[in-house]
Amino acid sequence: MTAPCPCMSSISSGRPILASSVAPALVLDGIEAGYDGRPVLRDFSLTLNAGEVYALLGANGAGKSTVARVACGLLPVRRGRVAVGDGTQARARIGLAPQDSALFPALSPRENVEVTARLCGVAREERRTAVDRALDLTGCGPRADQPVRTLSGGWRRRANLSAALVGQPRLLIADEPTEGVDAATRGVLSAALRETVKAGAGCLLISHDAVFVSDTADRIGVLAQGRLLAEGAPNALLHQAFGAARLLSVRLTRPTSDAAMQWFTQAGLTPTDDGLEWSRLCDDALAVAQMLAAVVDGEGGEVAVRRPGLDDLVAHLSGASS
Amino acid sequence: MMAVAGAWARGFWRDRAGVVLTLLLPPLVYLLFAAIFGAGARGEIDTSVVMQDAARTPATVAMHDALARDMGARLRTVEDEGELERAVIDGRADAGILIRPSTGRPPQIVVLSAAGRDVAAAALQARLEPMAATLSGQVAPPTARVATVQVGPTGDVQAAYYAGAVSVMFVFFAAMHGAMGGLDERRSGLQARLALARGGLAPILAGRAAWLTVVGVMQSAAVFVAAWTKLPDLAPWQAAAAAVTALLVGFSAAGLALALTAACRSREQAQPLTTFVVLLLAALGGSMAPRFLMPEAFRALGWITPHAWAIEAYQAVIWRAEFTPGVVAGWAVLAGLGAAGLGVALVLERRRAAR
Repeated sequence: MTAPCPCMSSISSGRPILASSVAPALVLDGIEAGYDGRPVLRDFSLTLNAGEVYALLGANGAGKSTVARVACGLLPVRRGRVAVGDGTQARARIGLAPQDSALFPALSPRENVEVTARLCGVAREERRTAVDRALDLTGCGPRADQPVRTLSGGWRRRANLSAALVGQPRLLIADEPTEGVDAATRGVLSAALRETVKAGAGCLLISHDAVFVSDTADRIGVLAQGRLLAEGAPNALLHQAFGAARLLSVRLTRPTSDAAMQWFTQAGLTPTDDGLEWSRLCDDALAVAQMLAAVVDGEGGEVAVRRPGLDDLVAHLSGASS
Repeated sequence: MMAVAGAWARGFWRDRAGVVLTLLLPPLVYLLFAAIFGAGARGEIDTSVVMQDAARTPATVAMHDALARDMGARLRTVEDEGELERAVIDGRADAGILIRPSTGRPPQIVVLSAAGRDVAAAALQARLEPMAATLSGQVAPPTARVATVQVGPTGDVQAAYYAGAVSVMFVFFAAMHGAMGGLDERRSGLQARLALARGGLAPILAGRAAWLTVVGVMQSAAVFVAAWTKLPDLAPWQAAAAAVTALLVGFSAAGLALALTAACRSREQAQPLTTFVVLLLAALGGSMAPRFLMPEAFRALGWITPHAWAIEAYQAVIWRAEFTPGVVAGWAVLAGLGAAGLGVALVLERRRAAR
């Protein structure tokens, strides 16, 4: 096992996971992999336990999808070790829900899930039950018999996940499962992932949806430039990174006046590139907000204080690492 | 493999317009090709002729009447030599006949021809030679000095030829079009999911090849049904051999189509590439015009195409009722191309997945 990145921290999840005697769903150890001779992952290690949802977060190009492709065996590694489950028929026990709608458009969700079930080797007599269960898990039942091409994006997402679940995978890889879906569907998909890992699978979740990740993941890993910067339970990582600090932000509708700019700068706020948003992480955010309220009001803007989220964590860690 | 083939089959059947076009267009095009190109190759060249008789002797009038009886509406008469030339030059007539008076001598017959219509002029010239001899007071040469005896099967050989030729061309077109569905599956991630579920890409590609082969067999069957009345009576072994040929044509088309689409990143790349390849193979292989009409170099080059082997195999088993080593060689070429294409597709798809 190679040493973790110096800035990496590891904090255990608060949610119970399966006993340690169960083989991990996925082990990536000292992986080096990339495209056309250009390395994307460097000395990358990750262990995903059975019974947990592990979310990979990071900016575009950080290497999240590359991790997924390495885990699937679709991208050969130059160095390192990949192990899925106990290693028996490993690839057949990986359920993949790609970012796009990976479905036959002329077929219904039920037929799509059936095709995957057949390919996974689900016995004929068990197939109907397995298909129904996978469709039920994602709440896809009401649209299960309509052609996929007639379904909205949200229903396609459900069907996409159902097809990945039907083989009862040991490792589920879900790539942006909530892209373009409403809050209700997001809740259903989160519950489906939780139900899947409860049955003993491990789930590698790749998502930019901070709310979904907060609700669903047991652990997160923050990735930048092919390296894990930190991993652990979401709340614990947030606490470690930000403590009791709150994010103070000022949003303006027009360019700042010189006087206001002086106020914001003195208060320690930094602007975005367009100068219409100023922010600062601080323990006394409420007091600073009260101090700036009149100035912001005069500028026609608004001031807000909130707890930092996972997006802020990714930006914070990625910024620190670069 | 069967799960993938079944999924493609269901997708195909649900696109009713696509089904109709896939199975109806080939027979329609076959009927057109057989009618248009078949007649020329059979020797039935319906030459249109324009004539000006400036001599107007009893003999030339009798000659005009004889030609008019024979050619009917395909012979037109004009009164002016300039009009005669214009009709030939602008293509209203394939050739022209000008009969000039000649003082103290028999009228002179001239055949007018435009560039690129040498065949029509030569045919007309041959037809007019005896008449010219009669006009000049000579004894017309006997018209059948050399006997012609037809050997081999009798009937509409061109109709049988084009049944094979057109079906092969459409099977390749349909395979290329169908294989492009694989590009969508690759882009969406469906291919990766199916490969993971089954434990590899090979069964997925084999399933696609199986379905494309089935479509090819259906298309060939549709063409041969349309051609049925023009084919000779087939013995059971002939029908079976033709069916095997159709199966192997479908397989070779599937293999080649999968290899070409595997080499492409997108439909935008695949569309022009596959169209070019299919048209080139069809032209060289004799699907558009019989290879015996081609220059020798192209005739030899045609053997690099599966079309030539397939058409030759169809001709042998359907028309000549022969099961020769050439048929077996054709089958081997078609099967080999299909297997090689499938292998290349597998290698390319694996490489692409690893990029």
